[in-house]
Amino acid sequence: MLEQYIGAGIMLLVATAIACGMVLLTSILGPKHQFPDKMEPFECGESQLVSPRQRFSVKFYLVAVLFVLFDIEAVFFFPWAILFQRLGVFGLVEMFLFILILGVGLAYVWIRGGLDWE
Amino acid sequence: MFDFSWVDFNLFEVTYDVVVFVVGITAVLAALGVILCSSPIYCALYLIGHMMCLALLFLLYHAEFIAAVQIIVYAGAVMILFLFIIALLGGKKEKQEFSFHKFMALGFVGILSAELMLSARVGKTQPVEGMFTPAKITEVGSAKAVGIELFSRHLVPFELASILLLVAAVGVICLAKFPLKPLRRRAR
Amino acid sequence: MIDDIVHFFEPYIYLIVGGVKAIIIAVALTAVVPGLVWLERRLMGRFQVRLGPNRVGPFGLGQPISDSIKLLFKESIIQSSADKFLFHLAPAIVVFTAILSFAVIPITQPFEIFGQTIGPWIANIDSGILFIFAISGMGIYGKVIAGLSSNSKYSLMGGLRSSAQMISYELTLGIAALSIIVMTGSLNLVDMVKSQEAVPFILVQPLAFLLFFIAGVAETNRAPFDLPEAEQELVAGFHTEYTGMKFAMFFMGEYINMVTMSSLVTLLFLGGWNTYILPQNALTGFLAFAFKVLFLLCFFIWLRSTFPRIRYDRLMTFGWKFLLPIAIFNLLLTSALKVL
Repeated sequence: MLEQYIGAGIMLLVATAIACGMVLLTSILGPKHQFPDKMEPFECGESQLVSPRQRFSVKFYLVAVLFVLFDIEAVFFFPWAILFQRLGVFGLVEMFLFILILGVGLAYVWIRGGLDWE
Repeated sequence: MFDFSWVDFNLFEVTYDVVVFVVGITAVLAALGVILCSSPIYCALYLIGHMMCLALLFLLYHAEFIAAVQIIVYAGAVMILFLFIIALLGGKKEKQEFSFHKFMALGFVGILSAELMLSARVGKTQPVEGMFTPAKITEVGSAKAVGIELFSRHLVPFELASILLLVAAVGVICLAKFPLKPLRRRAR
Repeated sequence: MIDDIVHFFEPYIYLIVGGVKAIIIAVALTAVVPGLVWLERRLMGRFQVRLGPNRVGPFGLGQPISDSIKLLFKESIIQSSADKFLFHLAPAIVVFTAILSFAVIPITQPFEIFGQTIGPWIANIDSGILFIFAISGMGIYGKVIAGLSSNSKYSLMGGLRSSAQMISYELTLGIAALSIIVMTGSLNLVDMVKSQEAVPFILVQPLAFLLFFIAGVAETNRAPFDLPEAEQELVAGFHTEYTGMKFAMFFMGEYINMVTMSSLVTLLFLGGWNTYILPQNALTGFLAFAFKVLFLLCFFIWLRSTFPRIRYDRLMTFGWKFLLPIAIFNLLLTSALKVL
């Protein structure tokens, strides 16, 4: 089984070489004229008024948590989908229950407005 | 003429041992980085690196599907959540005036290595034999093997997992303090 | 003595073959990016009734090459409050994951050369599609880290938006692919193509194809889902602070992801290297695969010049309230039809 991954391992090395090589090359090749104004973060020519480290909408956090939940659900689907032809009706009912319970969760989040972006 | 027979070793086996060793050491170093680093972003990155090493170890121990799941769920989903939280809270570097934490961490490492030495005295550990030997997993396929176990012996935990996920979905709404709205669509 | 050396290396010939294949495909992927940029600019020009680049070389073919050389020799500015290591790491992650995820894509059927059967893939692994999802999921970190390390509010906002969008559509992508896995009972991409020898899955699973394609466009951050790069509101999103080649590397990642996504759609839904009408061998197989991928890439560009950008709240609600329920419904329907 591991022999299958030898190619992927070689590709990993090649991809690392390309990615690091490009970053290195552009750091070496380009000119370097630095002065303080150039080194400021972009703000349409103004100097920065407020810190970029502001608080963000809690929606991003919510989306990330929901993603974790449904990602775990999707991961459970994969072995089920492979075995599906063997499991038959039993597998269908089983997964239907699983999705139903998760569907209740999705419906709850939906009703409470967790999916609304204003 | 030169005799090359003395270099007759199996490259694959030797590389396997070396790779397992290197990945294991990297996992430990990354885990140390998580607790010793003072910047939360770097801590999260070290944790991602640690998860990747664990996934590689799973792969090296012939658990292909578990390795993929480890990357998709832990290194993918959960760590994205961590990074989001760091971004939301600002991610400032912690000041370490008091080195007590580092002292604690070093003490913990000391205890762990002492335990390791003790376990070396006990001798070789016995692996737990399951239904699936590596040969059988290669024959059936890693994901299928997980599925067979999941849908026969571990059916109830599998169904209970969905309830756990439901609880998490309800919990996050409560934590985020969404105001209770009437079920009707609000008037514009 | 040479015989001895040859004899010593003979068991490891697969390493050499694998290395050659990996280098060929990686170089081809990086070389296809300028070509794709040229294609996009020319096609966009045609769609908008203008000429597009036509001065450098025949048909303006030299334009992307001169552009990439110019970008390579530009100054790489790192603004002083940025985190230097993470700032360098982010574009490297994007390019790295984009190239690596192509490793499991088979581009034609296996063929024989010098008496050896060569698989036209870098790795033919059992859970190939999981590998692609896992590695391309890692690409999100490039964008988040670019946003976090730049210490600029546009970058941070763009990075968060981009990653929130990608994780939302990744679910639809996975669940749409699951209905194909239910049909084939395998996670291996070669097996999936083999089970489409009679009829491509787009005819059997049109809804799954539509969902997968829409989610794929959103996943590669292409228009009309290119919110992270909404230059009118966010300057340029997560790569606002990047210059020169590091700036170009984000685009390189995007274009390679486009190629990977088109290849994945081809393998899952369009029958991969099955020609259906022409005689089937490795060469016609590759041509069929390349034609289908090129068609999908042109479709991506066509979408960009046709649709206006979707508002961010609409984008998120579209993903969560529309695509995801339909994808789950489609999966249940497929499995129910399959078993009953």
